Amino acid sequence: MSNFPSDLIVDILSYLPVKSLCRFKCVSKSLSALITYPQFVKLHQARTQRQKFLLAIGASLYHVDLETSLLQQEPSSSSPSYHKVVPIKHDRPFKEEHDHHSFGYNSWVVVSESSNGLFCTTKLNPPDNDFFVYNPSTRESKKIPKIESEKESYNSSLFTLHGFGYAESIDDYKFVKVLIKRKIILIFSLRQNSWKTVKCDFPFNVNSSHVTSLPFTGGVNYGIPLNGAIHWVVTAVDFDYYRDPRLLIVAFDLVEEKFKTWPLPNQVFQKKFRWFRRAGIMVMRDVQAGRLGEKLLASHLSWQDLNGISTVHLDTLTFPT
Amino acid sequence: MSTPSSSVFSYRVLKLKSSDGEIFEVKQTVAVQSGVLKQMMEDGCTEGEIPLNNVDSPTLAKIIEWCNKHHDDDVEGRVLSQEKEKEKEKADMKRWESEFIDALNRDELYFLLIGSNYMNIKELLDCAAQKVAGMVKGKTPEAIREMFNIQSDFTEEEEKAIRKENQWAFN
Repeated sequence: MSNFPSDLIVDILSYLPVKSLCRFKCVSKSLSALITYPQFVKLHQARTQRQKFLLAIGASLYHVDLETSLLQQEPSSSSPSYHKVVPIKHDRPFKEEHDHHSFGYNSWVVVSESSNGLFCTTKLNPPDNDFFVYNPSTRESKKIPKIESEKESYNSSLFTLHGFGYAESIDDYKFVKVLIKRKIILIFSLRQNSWKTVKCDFPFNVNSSHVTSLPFTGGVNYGIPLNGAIHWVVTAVDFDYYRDPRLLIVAFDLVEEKFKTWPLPNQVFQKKFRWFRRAGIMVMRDVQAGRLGEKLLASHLSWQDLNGISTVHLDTLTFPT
Repeated sequence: MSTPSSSVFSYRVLKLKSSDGEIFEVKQTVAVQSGVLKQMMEDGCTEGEIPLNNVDSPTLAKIIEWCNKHHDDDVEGRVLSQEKEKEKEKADMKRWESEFIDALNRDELYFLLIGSNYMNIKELLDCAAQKVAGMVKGKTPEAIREMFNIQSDFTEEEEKAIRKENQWAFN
């Protein structure tokens, strides 16, 4: 095949897995430029976007990418929805940063689920309060710089909410820390590469037993990114939790940088929410749009799940409505 | 198509002329899948032979075979058909598509890509591009240069550095 028109090359490359693209970066300067060109990245994402999970086990992260997994294995004709997914191990993901560090047993915690392909992680054991944005497809990472004024914020990590999410309308990723006691929100924009502080009266209270009981979160209360907002489940401020444990979903809108709240929609949802949390997997309904589209939060599959089975069966991750 | 007016429309044909001079007659309802031909129909300039200078006759024959398979004679009937039938139809079509694409040799696939790009037939182009993507997925950078006729403009050191950076992708 000679004299390939360049628009066709773009088309063909947009169907390739990221691994192939990374390998082809050394073909030529123009191809390398194309592969990293934001518009190409968008096209590629639109064509290949599938669910991705990042799991933290020991000193390593494990990446479950349905896109590449599906390419590797054709679905069997008898049950086309059944796929065996093998997590890919990423050893010491942030090498330069941590070469001189020691790693504990459960070293990492994944703060967010996939947000347009990126994840937010932090080291838990030993803790260093550094947060990293990680792209498991390209294995690129970026350390979120520390904000000068936040030193004291870690003293009360039980009253801090963390979250990382993507807002399509502004094409930006934001990392958010909500310091409830100090009534401020710290927002880091990946696009601006800068921090911003917003004052805020919180319409909720945080009860640690409700937001920190996920396994291996080490007190980091992370939110669920969805539709350009980050969601947490908290207890309502005007209720006595021990008598009437009413839960709320609070969402921080990444575009408007404001909080919204919803009551948990119904009993079913509450039950589900708890049940999934026990299972180490949370499913959050798309409450904003009222749609049934369920978001799967599998970033906290416990290590036992993986060590025992060493594969994750997708069928076991989908739940009846 | 049961009403007389629509049948008149559906049997109007376009005369497509391949680069090697062969004439193919194609129903308008089939030809609309090509963005280029659709535009020409809307502009009312489809009288006489339409020259397709970038598409030879074997490729044009393949493209028309694809379009014939993908056009709906009975749109309403399809809407009314049961969900399950639709699913089956979709699966059958997928199978037909992959058989169609898999049967092509490298040169045929190449000309089909060029032709469907030229005639702007999105579904066929996507299908062919995916097939080529599957073929190049596991290849080395050297093989990609050869395949797409690309000269490396990196210095040896530059290439080494990029390889090192993306070492995981070579395993």
